[in-house]
Amino acid sequence: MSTPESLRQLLRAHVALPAADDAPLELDSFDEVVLIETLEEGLAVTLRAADVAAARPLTVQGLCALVNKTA
Amino acid sequence: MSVFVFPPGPRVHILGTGHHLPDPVRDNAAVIAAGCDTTADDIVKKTGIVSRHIAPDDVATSDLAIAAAKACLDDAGLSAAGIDRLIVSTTSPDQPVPSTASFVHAGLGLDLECPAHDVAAACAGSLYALDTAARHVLTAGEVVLVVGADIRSRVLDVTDVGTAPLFADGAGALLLGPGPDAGGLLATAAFLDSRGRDKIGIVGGGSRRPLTAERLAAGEQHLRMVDGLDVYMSATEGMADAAARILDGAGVDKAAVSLVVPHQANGRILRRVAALAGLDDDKVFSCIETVGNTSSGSVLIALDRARRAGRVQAGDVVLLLAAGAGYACAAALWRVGDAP
Repeated sequence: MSTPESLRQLLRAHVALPAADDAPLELDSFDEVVLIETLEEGLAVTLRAADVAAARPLTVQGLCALVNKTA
Repeated sequence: MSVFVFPPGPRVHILGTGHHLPDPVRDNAAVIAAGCDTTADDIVKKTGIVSRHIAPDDVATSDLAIAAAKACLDDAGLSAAGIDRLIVSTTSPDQPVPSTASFVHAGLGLDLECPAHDVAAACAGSLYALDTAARHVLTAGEVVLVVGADIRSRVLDVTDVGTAPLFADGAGALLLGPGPDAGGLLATAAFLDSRGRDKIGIVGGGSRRPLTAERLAAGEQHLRMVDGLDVYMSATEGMADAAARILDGAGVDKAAVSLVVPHQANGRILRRVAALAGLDDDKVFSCIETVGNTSSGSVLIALDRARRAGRVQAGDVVLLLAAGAGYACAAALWRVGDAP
C-alpha cells in the first residue's frame, strides 16, 4: 500500500508537489506526464486515462487512492 | 466494422513510399528564441525532440504533399498516369475550399478519371486514408495514392510550451495497388473515441466559431492542448488497444511483429505504447528526434524512413499505429512481400 509520504518520496526528485496532501497539484501537462510515468515505473502499476480523469483535480491524496486501487 | 481483415486471394500491396521534409530545420534554441519559455534540455527531456522542419511562408501543405508523392512514385517506379485515385490526409489544408487533394491532383498532372479527396482525422488521418484506399484496391483493383501532409507550424502559438516544441511540418506518401496472393496488407483498423473531441484542437475558424477580430486576439486560430495528460494517456492506450485488436483480428501473435511504426507524437508516447502493447522497445521505429510531430505526415514519413534505413525486410510483419485529435485511432498490419 502506498501512503502520501511514500508517494512524496517517489515523486520528489521529478516534480514539485504542494505541501498539503489534499492541495491540487500545479503542474504543466508535461510534468503531469512525468508524474504518471514515475508512478507507473516506480510502483509497477498501469494507470488508465479514465481513472486519472476521474481523479482530477490531482492531489497527493487522490493519487495515493488511485495507485492503491490500481495495484 | 472497425477492424477489417483482408480475405485470402489477391492482396493489397504497398507499391512504394516517399516523404518530404521542408527546410529550414528549427532546433530547440530557435523554438526558445521565437518566444517559448523553456530550455533546450527540457524540450529534449519532455519530448525527445532535438529539431524539426518548418515550411517557409510561401510553401503550402499541397507543396509538401506533391513532393512526397513524387518521391513515392519514384520509389514505385510508376508515373502519375498510373494512379487511379488520390486521398490526401490533412488538417491544415491549403484553404477551406476546395480540397487540398485538388491542388495535389493539379501538381501531379492527374486527369479527370482520377478522383481525389481529403480525409481529416488529425494525426491518425493517414491510416484512415490507407484504410479507405485499401478497400478501393480490394474491390476495384485500383492503384491508390495516399498522402499525409500537414503544416502545423502555421497554427502554433510560438509561446505555448505545450505545443510549440512538439509540432512540425512534413508529408509522407504511400502507393497501394493489387498484387500477388503472398504478402500485402493483412488488416486495417480505425476507431474514434469522441469523448476526446475537446481535448486538443483548434476551436476557431469553423462554422461553430468563425474567426472574428476578438477571437483572433484570443488566439482561437491556434492549436491548443486543453488536457495534455489526457491526450498522452488516451493516445497511448488507443494505439495499444488498436494494436491488440488488429493483431487479434488478423490472427497474428505480437511476437511475430518485426517492426512497429507508430505515429511520432513524442518520445514518451512511443515508449508507453510499446509498454502497454507488450511490444519490444527495439522493434519500435522512431525518428521523433529530428522530425518532431508532423501530424498527418507522421506515420508515412516514419514508414518511408524505416524502409530506406533497411529496417523493413521481405517477409517482415510491420504494424502501423496512429492516434490523433478526436480521439481518432487507426492501425494497419502489413506482411512485406518480396520487394520491401
